[in-house]
Amino acid sequence: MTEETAPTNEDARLVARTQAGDPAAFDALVVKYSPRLYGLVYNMTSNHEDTNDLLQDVFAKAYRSIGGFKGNSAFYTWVHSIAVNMTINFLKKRGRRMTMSLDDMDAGVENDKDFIELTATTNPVREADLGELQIRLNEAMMKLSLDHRAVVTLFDIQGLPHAEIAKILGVSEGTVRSRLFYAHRQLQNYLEEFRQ
Amino acid sequence: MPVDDQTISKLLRLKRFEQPPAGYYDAFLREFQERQRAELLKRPVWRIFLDRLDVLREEYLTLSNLSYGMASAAVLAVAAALSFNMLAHPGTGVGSSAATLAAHVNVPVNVTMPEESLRVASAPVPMNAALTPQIRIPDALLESSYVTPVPGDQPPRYILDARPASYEPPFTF
Repeated sequence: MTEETAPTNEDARLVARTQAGDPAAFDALVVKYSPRLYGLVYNMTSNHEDTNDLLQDVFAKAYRSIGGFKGNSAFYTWVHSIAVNMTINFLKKRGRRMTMSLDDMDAGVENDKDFIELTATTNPVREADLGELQIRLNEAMMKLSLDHRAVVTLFDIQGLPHAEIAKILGVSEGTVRSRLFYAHRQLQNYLEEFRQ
Repeated sequence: MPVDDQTISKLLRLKRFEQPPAGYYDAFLREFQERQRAELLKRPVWRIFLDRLDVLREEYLTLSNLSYGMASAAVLAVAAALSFNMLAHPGTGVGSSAATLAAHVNVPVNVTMPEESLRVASAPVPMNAALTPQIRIPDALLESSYVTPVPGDQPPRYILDARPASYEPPFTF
């Protein structure tokens, strides 16, 4: 969890103001959490338009339900739960349609240590290999079950700790670890198949 | 490149850079606000009516809480004023009223006794004496009893009426 989106007292204040009828406070929450939730929904749906619509629905639902939010968990956890559940329900209805694209890759990736490490050798063949591997990984991601995909998205892409993922998904930490293990195993198998 | 678990993790971490184009989040917020407004306008009449009722109910509850508090404060103020008045003027208290009442009870007219032999306390009782936890014979009972004169230093003997005294003149034919 990054510092900028870590649950703070500011969230509680914004929630209280929203509950008191101040819509500007909820707008501040939307601004704060939409980039993270976009990443979560996008990596599960692999479609920008679907992500946009879903994210609108997620925040609309959160706004409608915020009166009943008692603060037993952080707003961060609560809104992530709404996003994961709505995305899973949406994907169950939609079926397997894949339109993942890497065109939207942010320019900041060039400064990422993983990217630098993976492309350390300036070999065009290697770069092409990495790009291809990335595409295959996206395809493999879409072959994962929804539960496994959610765990991989929250842990590997969003960088959330196991305990936080367990709270969001409403399962035990053991279940999260187990799902992660099997998801990684499946991804590895898909990518090995591609390489052979 | 070997596809081990570490490589997969690194590749997955790179996916966090897949972000929408610049300006997307501003547009997203505007769209959200527009949707919210549209949703408010599209609400059915009965829903708006219920919301208004809710607001009215909340206002009424606030007012009733306020009036309850004010009434409680008024009752407390009156009680405090009465208590202060009674402590400042003990002669007008409850205890003295009872004593005054006892003093006004008539002694039977057909009883003629020497005054020194009557040892019935009919004078007003001070308030603090009236409040002491002692067993006392009610004044009214003492007033309605005959007192038999006793010679010497003997204590007086009290005899209660066997039947009530009549103050009407006897019939004479």
